[in-house]
Amino acid sequence: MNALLFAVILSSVADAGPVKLDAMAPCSPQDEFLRANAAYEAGKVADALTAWEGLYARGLSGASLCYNIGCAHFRLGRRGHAILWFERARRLAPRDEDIRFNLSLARSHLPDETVPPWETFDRLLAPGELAVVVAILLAFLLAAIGFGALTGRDLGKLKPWFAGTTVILVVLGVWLALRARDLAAPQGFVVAAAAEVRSGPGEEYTAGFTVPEGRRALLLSVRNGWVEIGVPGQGLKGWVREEAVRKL
Amino acid sequence: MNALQAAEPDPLHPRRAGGTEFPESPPCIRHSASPSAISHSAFRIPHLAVTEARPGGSRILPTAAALLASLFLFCAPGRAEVTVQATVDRNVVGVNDPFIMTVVVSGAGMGVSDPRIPQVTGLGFAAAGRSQNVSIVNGSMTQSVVFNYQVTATSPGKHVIPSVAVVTGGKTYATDPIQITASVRAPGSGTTAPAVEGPPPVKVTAEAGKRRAYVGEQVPLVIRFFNRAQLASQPSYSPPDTAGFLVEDLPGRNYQGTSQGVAYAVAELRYSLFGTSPGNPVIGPAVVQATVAERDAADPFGMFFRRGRTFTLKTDPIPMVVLPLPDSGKPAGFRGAVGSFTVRSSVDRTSVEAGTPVTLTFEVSGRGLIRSLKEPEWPALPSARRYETVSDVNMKKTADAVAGTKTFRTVIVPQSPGKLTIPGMSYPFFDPEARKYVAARTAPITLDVKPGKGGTSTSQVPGLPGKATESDIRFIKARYDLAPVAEPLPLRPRFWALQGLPALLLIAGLASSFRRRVLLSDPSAVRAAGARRAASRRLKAAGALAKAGKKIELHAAVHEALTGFLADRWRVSASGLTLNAAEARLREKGADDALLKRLRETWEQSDLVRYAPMAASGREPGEVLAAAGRLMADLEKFT
Repeated sequence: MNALLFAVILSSVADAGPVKLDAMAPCSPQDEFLRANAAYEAGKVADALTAWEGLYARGLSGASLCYNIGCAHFRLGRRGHAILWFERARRLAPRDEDIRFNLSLARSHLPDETVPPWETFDRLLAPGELAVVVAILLAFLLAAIGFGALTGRDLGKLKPWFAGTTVILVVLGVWLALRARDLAAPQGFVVAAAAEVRSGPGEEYTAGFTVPEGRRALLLSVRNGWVEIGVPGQGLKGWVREEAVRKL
Repeated sequence: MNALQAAEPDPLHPRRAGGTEFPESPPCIRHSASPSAISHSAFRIPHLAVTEARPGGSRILPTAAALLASLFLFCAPGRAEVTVQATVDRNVVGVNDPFIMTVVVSGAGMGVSDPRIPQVTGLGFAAAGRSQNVSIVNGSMTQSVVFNYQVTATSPGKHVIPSVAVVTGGKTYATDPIQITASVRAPGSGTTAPAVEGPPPVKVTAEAGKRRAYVGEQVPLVIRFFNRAQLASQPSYSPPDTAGFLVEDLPGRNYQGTSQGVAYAVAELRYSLFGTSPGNPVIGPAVVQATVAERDAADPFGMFFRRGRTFTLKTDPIPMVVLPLPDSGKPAGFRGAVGSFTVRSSVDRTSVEAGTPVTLTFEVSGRGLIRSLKEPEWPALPSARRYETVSDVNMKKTADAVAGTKTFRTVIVPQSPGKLTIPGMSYPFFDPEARKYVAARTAPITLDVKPGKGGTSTSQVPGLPGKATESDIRFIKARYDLAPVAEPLPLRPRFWALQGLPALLLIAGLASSFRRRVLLSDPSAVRAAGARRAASRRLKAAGALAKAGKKIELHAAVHEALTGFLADRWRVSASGLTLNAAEARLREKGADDALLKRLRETWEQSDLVRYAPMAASGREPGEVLAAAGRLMADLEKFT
């Protein structure tokens, strides 16, 4: 039964909605990806970036693609965009050393940037892995108890196992809930050189402070081409132009 | 006076227009109480009440009734004298400056029609509400209906509000005409209280320091409230609409001053305006509403109960011209600074080791919109790395201008030993006084960079241990791992829905466990519940006998299955169950004759063959078993 449940969970992981990979493309995504890599190696960074972003726009993603796009943005001097894409890559492959290194380098100009603790936790268990582990443990625990009750067998000998599993499940469940909340929170990065943060959604409001390119920000609301952002860890809040930030 | 009934001129309201009584005015009962009447109503009645309220007084109820009747009699409105009066709150008004006209209908009962307001060229009327008052004075009750109108003179000159007709009690009454003088005020001077005699008690003015300014240029705006009267309450103030400008408040002040030779207490509010874009914005009117206390010298209680007269004062709109910054001479690196500034740069140390951070400070000081100044264009330093810029603002607002200092700080980290020169930095701005662009420059700064510890030329930023120790990113990845974009698993609703499956299994197990416990507590119930399954098992065993050709044993097994089924259902012993008893019980439960006949045939046939094998029918064993199964299925609902 657990195997069946696991299979169902895996099928839900694989299910990603209707995406036609190459219906409109002149060549396969893989060819396009490799051609973009070659362009980057030849120094045609902008061309490579266009091709990679075209793949992403077609509904394809992957740690390598996001990482490469981040590299191209960094080469073109767009640190904010580079950080955005490295962060996307990190979420897909949290244990990848290259991604972590480049992300760290790209945001090295932000000495007071608060690095989320999830970067460490994700290396232990990525969000998807965490969800699967929690699902399996939950299925085992509930199925064992249900099976015992259904068959009338005495499961008293398994009580220590049940207790240990329950404790682990609670810890992982809290971790998963917090992680899911963080993933669901609308986050983004400042991609303008130095975004002036104003007290209201318009140029007529005074600029209270500036946020540097690459700063992580919570996207709180949108109005008339302006986005209300909050800067985590600094307690700052204000409005910037919509084009100054990109959603993660 | 507009009153229909002749009345004495009111010295407190000299602007009221008088009125005359219509010849056909109805007869009315005057309640202008005489001294004796006052004495009666004011003193006799309380006296009676006190007297009759003594304990033991047996006439208290009739007396109270008489008292109420007399009160009612005195207070009854009867046919009061009707007067209609029209007044305005001022006769000298400004064009487009609304004033109030009040029409009071006194002495009428119910059924007062709305006044008929005539059309007047140059005057606009708007109804501003109707109210009704009832007053009892010395036992005499009077009613009045008050109609208010907001009137606006749309052209200067003398205007006349003609007679206003009111119909009540089937008769028509008219007020006297009212003279109004409307004048155009000089722009920019603000408004004053309506002229009575002498200088106005309160007035307000707005004054812009200049009418033409460049985008971002500072324009002082002063709102002054002049007062030489005693105010009944705190005035209310609505600041002017300054759309098209950024506004900085400046310190205000209060002082004693003079205006046109008259001494006033002056409250001054100051602003600095900065045009945001070229155009012709208008500074809207500032509005002050002040209530001036009025004292009635003839009223002995005037010192306690002062009347208030409310003035709504507006300044005139101030049209402005905001000029664009000139394109000619605009220097490279100009970032929109307008004003008059000086710049200065400094470092916190001039001798450092390679890889050690140095704080580079750039200060812009002067007059202008300090808060919005952009950071300077930092010089390129190939042998150093530069980090984020932070800024802070120190505003120094004077009475007429915004000034201060904006400080930008960045951290640079020299990468290699030697002399590191930070070139002088230019900060271009537009000086509106000089009407030209000016570039303020800082002096170059030279750092003496010594070799870092360990001889490394790479940097280590404090607070970032282990980070960014290399100067370039790592190379791209060639591995193709593209897949359709998908939400992270913890955010998929289907994933969370799947977590319900094991929970359902748990619930099923617990429900089954509960059911088992209930059944174990009542074995006969278990037997009854399992009767059908037991019968099926027996029939299945009988089927095996049939296959073996053992017909007698087959019928015996069918008989056992049938009687066992009924006995289990009824929780009785199978050996003690007779056909007659079974039939009787089934009939009680509503079984029909056909079913009972099938029961009897099966029962007797299987019973007979057990003891007289020759009596076995020619039916096939499978048919016998199927018939028995159907029979038990049909019997189940009656057991």
